[in-house]
Amino acid sequence: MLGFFLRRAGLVVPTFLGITLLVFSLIHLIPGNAVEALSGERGMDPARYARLMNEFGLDQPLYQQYLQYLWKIMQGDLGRSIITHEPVLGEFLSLFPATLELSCCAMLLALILGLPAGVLAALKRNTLLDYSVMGVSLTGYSMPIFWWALLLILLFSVTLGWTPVSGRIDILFDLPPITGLMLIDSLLSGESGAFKSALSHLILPTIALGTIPLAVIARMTRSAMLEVLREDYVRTARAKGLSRLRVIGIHALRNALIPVITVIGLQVGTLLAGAILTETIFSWPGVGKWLVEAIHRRDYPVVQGGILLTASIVILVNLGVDILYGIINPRIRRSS
Amino acid sequence: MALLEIENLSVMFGSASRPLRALDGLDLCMEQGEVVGIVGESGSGKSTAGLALMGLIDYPGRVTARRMSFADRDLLMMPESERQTLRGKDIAMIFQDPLASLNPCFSIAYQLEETLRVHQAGTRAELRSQTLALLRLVEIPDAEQRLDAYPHQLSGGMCQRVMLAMAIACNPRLLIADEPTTALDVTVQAQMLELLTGLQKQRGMALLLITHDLGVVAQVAHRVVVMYAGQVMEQGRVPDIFDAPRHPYTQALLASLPEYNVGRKRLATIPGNVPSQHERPQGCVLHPRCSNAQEICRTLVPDPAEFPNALVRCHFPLDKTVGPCKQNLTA
Repeated sequence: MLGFFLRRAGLVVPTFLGITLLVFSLIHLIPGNAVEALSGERGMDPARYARLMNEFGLDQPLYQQYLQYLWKIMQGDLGRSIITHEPVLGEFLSLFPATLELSCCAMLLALILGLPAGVLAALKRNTLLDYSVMGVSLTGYSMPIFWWALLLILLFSVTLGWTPVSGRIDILFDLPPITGLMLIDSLLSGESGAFKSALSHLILPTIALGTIPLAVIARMTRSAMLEVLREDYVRTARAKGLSRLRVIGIHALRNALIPVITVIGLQVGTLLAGAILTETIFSWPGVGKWLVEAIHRRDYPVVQGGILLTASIVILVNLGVDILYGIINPRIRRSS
Repeated sequence: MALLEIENLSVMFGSASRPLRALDGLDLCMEQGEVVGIVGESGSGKSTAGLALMGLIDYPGRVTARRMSFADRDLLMMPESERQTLRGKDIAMIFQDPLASLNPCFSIAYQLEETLRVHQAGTRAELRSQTLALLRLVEIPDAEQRLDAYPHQLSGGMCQRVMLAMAIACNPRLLIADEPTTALDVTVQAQMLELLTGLQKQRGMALLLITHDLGVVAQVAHRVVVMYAGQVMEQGRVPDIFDAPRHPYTQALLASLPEYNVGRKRLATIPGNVPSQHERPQGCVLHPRCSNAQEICRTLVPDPAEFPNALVRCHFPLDKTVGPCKQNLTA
């Protein structure tokens, strides 16, 4: 198991280096001048230009610039925002809990609805239930997030008035950030109605963001389950006199989950990409909205740092999924 | 009182208007401690019969019978919950491909203990020691170390021993073994068969041995049922049928055994294949492959006829004086 873990962890290093290289190149690939981009100033005099060139290290050979960039990253220095002059890492860390909260809720929604829906569709294959589940999930998968989110807002917020349109919590509440997760902070604050407000703000963004992973998980679970139900060991489990629930819930599902878990890991990437749109539409103060605003303002250090950190999270989550895969599938764990 | 009584058991797939009969009118009676072999080529309905006995035929398959009772309990009228408690406890089954039949995600011990846990009470430690005793009973070497092994870490022979341990865990009165040695190495086959029959004698179980190997049947079974295309061609006591088959099909099967072909350059064969469920011929299902076939065989399905110690489904059963070496099929 340790060897398996180390092999998987070892693969993270080259992937991470690849991303740093990509992010590093960004500043040289953008149209215009790197000094102007990094300083945010235009039409400066040659003396200041030379001084900034030296300050940013842009007068050195590219490989040295890259090594320096790597060195800074290792020390947790991702540069400062051109606009706010705050360290990029600090801004990211203060905003990330909001994105984490939204993404976790969306993934939870996708799992809680997607897994049972997929299993049911497989058990009742070629029935109306199967066709409905698969039809709805295909529709959900095909729906552009921004449009879906707007439809949700129009119906539930504007027409029915059931949920708030945007934000994380009602502006009447001024809660000190303890964990950064609004659901938990609102409970900790002890203010009546705060939790309810936070929850009602979460509902629509969660649905909008969770729809695609939900559809993918439901479809994947169905096909994995259909395959597993034909296996000899399912017949053995029934021949042992196990209940139908046990045969399906333990013997079949455990095996069907193996491919589903891989898909869940890949969906984390989709989730963070989707968060950019969802957060922008719902004015959710998370990393996604922050990145979009940085792009609009040409705040390149923030864009660089944000991409690097988001990509690192996706890598780490997938590493976690790989390890989980090893735990659930003994053939992977013990072989080689 | 017989342990198992089956009359006219049929399994149908396909639509009601065009049913496909995988199993067509099986009559079978088994006593406690008796070994019955079902033989036939692939697609003859042997395995279907085993699964129907277990109650493991799924929709769209339909199981019908005039009578199907086990230890005086009607299997057909029994509610599914009762059938479930019977499965794995009183009637157990092992299958052809041992590696595929064990769940790859769970350890041997887990899968064995689960069987025990479903049918009886016991503490964890009791179950564990029972499991260990079962593994020793099926002669798995270093049983303690194998307890926490996963199926992919064991050989096919080992896996089949585990399957056998699982099947006999609750002392079943009837064990159905569906081609238990087919997927194993030849050297392991003999050991497995010896183990199986040893346990059968020791525990006094009835054993329904489904196989395509007549040699195996001759070695271990008391009675034999010869099946072809879903129908029973002939059944009776092993010595009678092996000495003097009355059905041309049984005779041809015996004639294709190497033991009956000593001194010949080529083995005798039966030309053609078993017709699939979609293309069962009119009349006697065997007639396209039978050299004895007459006009009546093409139109009329023969009824099983009773002989001393045998039941034969043929319009022209062979004379008792005809030995198995004489070729009566188109060969």
